Amino acid sequence: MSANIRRKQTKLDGFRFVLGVLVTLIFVFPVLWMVMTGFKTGNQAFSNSSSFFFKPSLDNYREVLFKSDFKSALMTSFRAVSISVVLTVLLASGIAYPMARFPSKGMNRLASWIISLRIVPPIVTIIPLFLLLKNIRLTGSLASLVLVYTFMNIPLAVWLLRGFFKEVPREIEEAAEIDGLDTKRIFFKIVLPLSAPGVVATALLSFVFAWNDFLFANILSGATTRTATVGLTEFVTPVGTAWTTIMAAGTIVVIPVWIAALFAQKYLVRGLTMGSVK
Amino acid sequence: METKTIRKHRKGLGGIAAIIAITTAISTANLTQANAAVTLNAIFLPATWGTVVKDTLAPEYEKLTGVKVNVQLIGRDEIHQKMGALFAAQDSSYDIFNLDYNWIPEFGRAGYLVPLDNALSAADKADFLPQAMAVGTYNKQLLGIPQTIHPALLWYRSDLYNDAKIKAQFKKDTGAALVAPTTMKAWEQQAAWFNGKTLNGSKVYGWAAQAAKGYGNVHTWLSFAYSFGCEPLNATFTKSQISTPNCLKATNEWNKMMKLMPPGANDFTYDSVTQAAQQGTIATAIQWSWGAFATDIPDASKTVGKWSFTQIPAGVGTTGVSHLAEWVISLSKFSKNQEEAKKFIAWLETKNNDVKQASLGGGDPVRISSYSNATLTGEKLAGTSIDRFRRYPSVLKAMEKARPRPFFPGEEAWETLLSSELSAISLGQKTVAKGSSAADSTINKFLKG
Amino acid sequence: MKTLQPDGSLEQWTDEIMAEGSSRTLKKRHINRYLSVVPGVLILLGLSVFPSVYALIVSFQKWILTDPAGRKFNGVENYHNLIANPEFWHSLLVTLTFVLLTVVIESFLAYSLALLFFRPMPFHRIMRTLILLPMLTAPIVVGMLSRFMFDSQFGIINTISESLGLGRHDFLSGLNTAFLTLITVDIWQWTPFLFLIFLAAMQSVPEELIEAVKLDGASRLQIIRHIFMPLMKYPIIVGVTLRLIDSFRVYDLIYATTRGGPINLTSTMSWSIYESGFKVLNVGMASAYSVIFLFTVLLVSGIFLRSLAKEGDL
Repeated sequence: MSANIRRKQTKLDGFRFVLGVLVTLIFVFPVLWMVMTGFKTGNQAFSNSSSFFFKPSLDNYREVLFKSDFKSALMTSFRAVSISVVLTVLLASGIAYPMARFPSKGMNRLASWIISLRIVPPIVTIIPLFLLLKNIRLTGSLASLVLVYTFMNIPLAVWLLRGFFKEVPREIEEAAEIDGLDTKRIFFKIVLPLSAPGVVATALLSFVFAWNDFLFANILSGATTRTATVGLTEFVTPVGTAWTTIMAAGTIVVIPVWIAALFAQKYLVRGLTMGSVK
Repeated sequence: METKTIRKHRKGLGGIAAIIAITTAISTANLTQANAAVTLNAIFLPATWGTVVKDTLAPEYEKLTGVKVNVQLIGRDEIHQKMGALFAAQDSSYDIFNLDYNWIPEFGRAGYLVPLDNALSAADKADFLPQAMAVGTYNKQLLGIPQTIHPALLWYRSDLYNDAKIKAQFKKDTGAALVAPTTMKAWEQQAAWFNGKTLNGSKVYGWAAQAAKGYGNVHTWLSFAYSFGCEPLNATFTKSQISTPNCLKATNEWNKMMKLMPPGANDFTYDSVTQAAQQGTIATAIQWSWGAFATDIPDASKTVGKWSFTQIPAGVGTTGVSHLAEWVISLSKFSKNQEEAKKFIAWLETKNNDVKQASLGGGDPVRISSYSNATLTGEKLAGTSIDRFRRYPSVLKAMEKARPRPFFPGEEAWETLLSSELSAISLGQKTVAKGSSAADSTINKFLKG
Repeated sequence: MKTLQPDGSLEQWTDEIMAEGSSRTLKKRHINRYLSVVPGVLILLGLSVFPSVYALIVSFQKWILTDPAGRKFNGVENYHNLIANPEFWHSLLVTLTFVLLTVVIESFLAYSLALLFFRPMPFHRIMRTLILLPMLTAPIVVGMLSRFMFDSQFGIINTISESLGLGRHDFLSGLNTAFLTLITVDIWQWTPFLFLIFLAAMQSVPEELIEAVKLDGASRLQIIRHIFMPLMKYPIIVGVTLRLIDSFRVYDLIYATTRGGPINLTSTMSWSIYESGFKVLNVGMASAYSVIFLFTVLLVSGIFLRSLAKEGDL
């Protein structure tokens, strides 16, 4: 390449870099603002002079974690979501493994039906679900949350796990079959460990979607089963909205997801597109 | 490679399994904890009277009787939604609910609330403000014991109204005297004069009130409506009358006044009004009587002691009428501890506790005797000679004529429908006439169905 | 169980398995293989089919939660009331407009971003990770954050806008701005989602192909049109379809900010169903609304899904 073209390239690259930084800032700024506000006091948050440079305080976090009920909401979220994730992975593996290893016309039809469930907006299920749950007196229980989250995540988990299980080399499985292992043992002793990164990624993504849920939790939550997302909205009172406290609570709600996503980063694209883009 | 991979992932999976095992253990441990004493579950509003119950009164009750009361604080809309959902599910997880009184007919008609007549003695019943008792009663049964009342009052800045220079300027500009207004016309003149002026170093607007779509704007509008002699519905709640002459006058005035609020007014929640009052950016306000406490908090308010209170100005006649707000405490029909819950509710509203709630910063009292209680009336704001409860005379006067929201089962839905149209009017999308007739038709449709 | 003979080949082994044909062991193995499918499918059925049927039934009833005595069958009255109500059509319009605008704008932005980040630049890995933050944040948190940042009195957006000379606005309560503000927030949150997909798809295009075509003198635009677009068609459709489906669901954002207002300008169908079901407590009406809503979503998504099925291995 001639020197001219190289110079143009560098200028172009420079421009690209500036644009990239700008774009990153736009996407990061609100999140940063939330985290910063969580460390401000009420007066600092509403004055213009201490927007970006201020003395941070832990008051909001103290309020959220020790003085308010938010801690129990966090515990509920954690309990409901982790139980549901375990169930999701188990049940979804049960569907995904036969789909991957023993495909058939029936399995394909099942697969199409499962993906169609992804389309249904939650608000459509919530009313009949609520009415049904009330008939079996399950409203407001942890079980109802676990059930709903599991139901919500199984389609995605099936899709992902099918892809991961398919990636396990056939030869290894077949060698195991030759050695006399039955399907169940093949799955647990061979396939699962080999596809473990994918399984963990599936679990993490199921965690993200269940943790972030608000609609189901809002309507199904009871005395002891408010999740963190619902607890967040309880900081809005008729007497005032404790914005700095909310921002701190919001940060707490978001951090587990960021961590989970960081670990699942490699599989994030797969997870979000139901496995169709590798 | 294979064994290493398996070993590596075994640890991760093992870790996750361990975490889940621990959390399940913790959760089941909670569940198997034996419940020796009776435990009551209550939902209160996260307003001051709810926090007073949660932070002070419930623990005190537990010490007195051994009965534990778990209090959860949930927002107004959420309480209504929860009650609807839980009652329909015949769910007994909550015994006690804090209700906005306009829900009493709705839940009363459905039979979801336990009558509380026998929880109060005759002497007690006589001590409560008659209006307060009336809106806790449906079909001649007391379904909610009043916890706090707050009629809407006209707030005005005594520092501005008593300022000699400002008074003189006002007289010069308008020819009228700057005193607490008694008519809508006078108030409008004053608010318009104040609006946008910078006085004593800060910019003020005419007034503020709740104006957000939802219930905010309806609640403010009702004070206008009643002060103009408007009857939003007929006596049997079967016909909407928003387009009657008096109601149109009221809506017109309300719409005119909406322009004299600070920016962002169409979004104003109760909270926004409080803030504006605290920051001193408004000269007058229409707000619940109880809310005044927030303006007397030194750390949060720039207008400590500067607010005075009077009746809602009159649209027609000589006195305006306040829209009455009240919160009551009710008992769920599905509660498994009805007797204990009744005792607790009655205890919350004894003479002593009514005064105690008020002095702890809860809502305004519901008993007549509390308003002449020396502890309350004699209390001064810290370090000043200003009465902490200087609004009480105005509150009592307002309670003489105060009127509640239309007291019928469909009231909450009525508010939702009316709120939409009021919003359209104040945002200029519809004229007063058009919006009013639209309100009439949607409300009539709802009443029929 | 058959064991492999020492010198048996894979095919022979398979043939022998096939030869077992109608033996009971084979049938049993079949059932054993698919048995594990049952629990998961049961939950899916239980929480999808039963609620759907129940919703359908309730949609033909007049049922207000606070009037249990008045519950009765009323045929298609709920549907009739809905269709005759201009509010319903307004909600439909709001929903479709919202979905269309967000998906289209997000797709264009995401594609441009993918092009921008396609070739490495300093810190590009960190930048890419940071860009993902919005879509990982719980929608309700984004909602509350938006309400805080766009506040008319003390929001940072107004502060910035004022300092840039663009004045202050009632972003979330203004007649002309509320809907657009919500769209902006949605774009902010979900463009990274499409960006991630598009970028991954772009990066799966073989490098050699691009180089070869460049050597042949192809311009940037030609490369995009003739190499990227065709090879990325499948992932693009997947991403856009998923975003389309999710865009119909928007609820948390409205709950935290405008609640359907001002008036009804941000009242999507999802929100209206929530209001009629849980605020007015008219579950009969809400169920009818849900049925119509589901139908709408299936219709619109179905169009995209059909083209997906043609392309890929769905």
